[in-house]
Amino acid sequence: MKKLFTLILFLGLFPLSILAQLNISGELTPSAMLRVSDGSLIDLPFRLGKISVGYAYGDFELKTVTALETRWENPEFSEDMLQFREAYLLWYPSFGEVKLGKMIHAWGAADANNPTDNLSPYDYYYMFLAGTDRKLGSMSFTAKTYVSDFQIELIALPKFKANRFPLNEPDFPIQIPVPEDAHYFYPEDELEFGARIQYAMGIGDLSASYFKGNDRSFSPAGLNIDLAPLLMGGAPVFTSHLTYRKTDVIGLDAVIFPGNWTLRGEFAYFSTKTPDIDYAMSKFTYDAEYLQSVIQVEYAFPNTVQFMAQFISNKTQKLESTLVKDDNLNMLQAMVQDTSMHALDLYRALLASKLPQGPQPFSAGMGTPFAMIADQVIILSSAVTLFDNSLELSGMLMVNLDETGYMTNIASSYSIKEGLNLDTTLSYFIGEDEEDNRFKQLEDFSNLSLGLSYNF
Amino acid sequence: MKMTTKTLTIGLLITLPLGIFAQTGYEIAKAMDEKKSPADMKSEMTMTLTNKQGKTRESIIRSISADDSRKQIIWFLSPADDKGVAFLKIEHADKDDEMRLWLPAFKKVRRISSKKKADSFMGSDMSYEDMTSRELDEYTYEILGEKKVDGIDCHILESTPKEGVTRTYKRFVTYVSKSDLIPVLDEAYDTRDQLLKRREMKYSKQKGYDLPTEIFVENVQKDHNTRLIFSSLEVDTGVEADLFQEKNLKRIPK
Repeated sequence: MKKLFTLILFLGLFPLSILAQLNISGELTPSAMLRVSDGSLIDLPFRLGKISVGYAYGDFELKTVTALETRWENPEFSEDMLQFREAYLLWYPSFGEVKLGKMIHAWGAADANNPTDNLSPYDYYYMFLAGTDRKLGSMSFTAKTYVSDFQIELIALPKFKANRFPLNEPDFPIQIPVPEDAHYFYPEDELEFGARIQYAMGIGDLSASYFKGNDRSFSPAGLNIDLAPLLMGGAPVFTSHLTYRKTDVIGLDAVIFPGNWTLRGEFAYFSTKTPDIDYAMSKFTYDAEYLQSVIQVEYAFPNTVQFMAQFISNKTQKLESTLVKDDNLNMLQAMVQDTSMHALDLYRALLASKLPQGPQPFSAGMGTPFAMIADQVIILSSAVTLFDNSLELSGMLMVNLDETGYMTNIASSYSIKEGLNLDTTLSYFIGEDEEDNRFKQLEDFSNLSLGLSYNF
Repeated sequence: MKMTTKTLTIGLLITLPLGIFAQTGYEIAKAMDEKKSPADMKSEMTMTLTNKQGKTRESIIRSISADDSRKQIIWFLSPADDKGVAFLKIEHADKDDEMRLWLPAFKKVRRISSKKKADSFMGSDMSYEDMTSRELDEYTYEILGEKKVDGIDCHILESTPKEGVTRTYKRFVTYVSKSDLIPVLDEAYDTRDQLLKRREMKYSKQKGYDLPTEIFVENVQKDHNTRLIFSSLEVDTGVEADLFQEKNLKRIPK
């Protein structure tokens, strides 16, 4: 329905194009990923193309971005294929700019891995893409003003939107352990807001930001145990509950240019807490603080060779996790305590799988997506353009400093003709032989990606 | 004092015939520098890059500059994969210059180092240094002689950066029209004193200014060239100072 409304809005404004400046651009990007191990196709969705339409009328502008998503195997033809990624109105008053609508945001000084950039949720299907392609638009209002060397931006997001995760996707390399019957408690207080101030100095830019919002990734909220089936001789029924924590983020980012180098840095402090949920269940609560940072160093050599290194860090500073048990859990635990009763082995195993011993695992619900797979990462990358910019070659090495793991990536983009490129990327993952090593889990995802991109 | 020789920037090269009889190289350069220039300039250009195989790549760009091109915004209108990319440059007298790139695909204004002046601007034969003003007092000048270039009587003026001034070129040899005091040909030598770039400029008179109609830049070492043809040019239109802000990078003017 919302999509239909956006379409009507889009078409309704079309007659304005007679008076306004109309800009239409787009790209077609068919691509496929093949496993390095056996050449088989990795069946994940991809964007076949997108179209951007902009109408400028005086100090106003309407922008829309629409994408078409499909997959090679078993494509499902549904309205979800058509993604209205952005549709927003811009106003350029004398003091700055004002935007309202569904849009994608980008904060931070570093490239791609930004702890301070928490406004737009991520689309994990597209985590290996660059720029806004890996983010999702959300309803927002922003106002930005320029005063001397300062920029001040205020933002409000009235409608909560979470990251998009590939759940139940056998071909996605990292399986996110979410039970199929999990129940989500979405934030009751959806309003999120933030502010950012940037100061342009002679030697670079310095920015500070604050954001109060809800986590983009879910975390455990509780466990409900229905003991009624026991009366009928059946097993208790467990229901996992998930929620999105309330998080405050204080960010600092900067770019400076020492000598011929460029140094970009971002630091973000997160304070997160599980919201109170008015529901009868055993509840998990988290009260945590964590720090994320990225230091990026760039150097441009002569002959169009660019070098970039990033050090990304995610560190939990404080963690208080508790489990507030309800009567049903107490009762079940008391029942299974007697290990001599083998008839209860099934319930014991069920309970152990739903409620592991020891502290509850904690993971960041905001910040750089790399925090999901590693706490300390170094990324080295280099790019060179050859043959009068007809061919761009790039290479990347990502090293997980916590548990041994590497990702290497070699990419080329060849300009067949103006606007038409052939893109090839070889991605390879290596992880130490440990069950929980994320890079080990990614090994089978090592792939060769082939794609065409045509801009119009 | 911030002064320029007004050469070789994309939008730029503006002079008035003052009829000064210049005796020394410095006096010629100073006379060029003091020529009245437009308060601002709006232009649309076709930029054609040609490699040694003769393969070409064409871009259409729009530029607005002011304050002797110390402030400039450039928007790329085509090709499709560059459309929307924009570049803002503000030269400061008391602090480092500001250079910012708007990359629509990333929705980010990326501040770039103003020290990497040798880097190519969008793959062209012009570097960022070529797009910034030359400071009159940062060079020493010498007249090497006289020569006709395309039928125009010219001084041959050599400009060499003073000691302590870091530039990517060792020196320039500029052919300056005697009658109009405008550069018609400029040769830039690299740090090994080898000819690196050769630039030819053509002008037309408008509102009393000599305004560029065509700039041809050839990297003789790479056998690669860039031709800028100005398809529209407006001067003294009253561009407001606050145009040169980040927000306007995102907004291609009509």
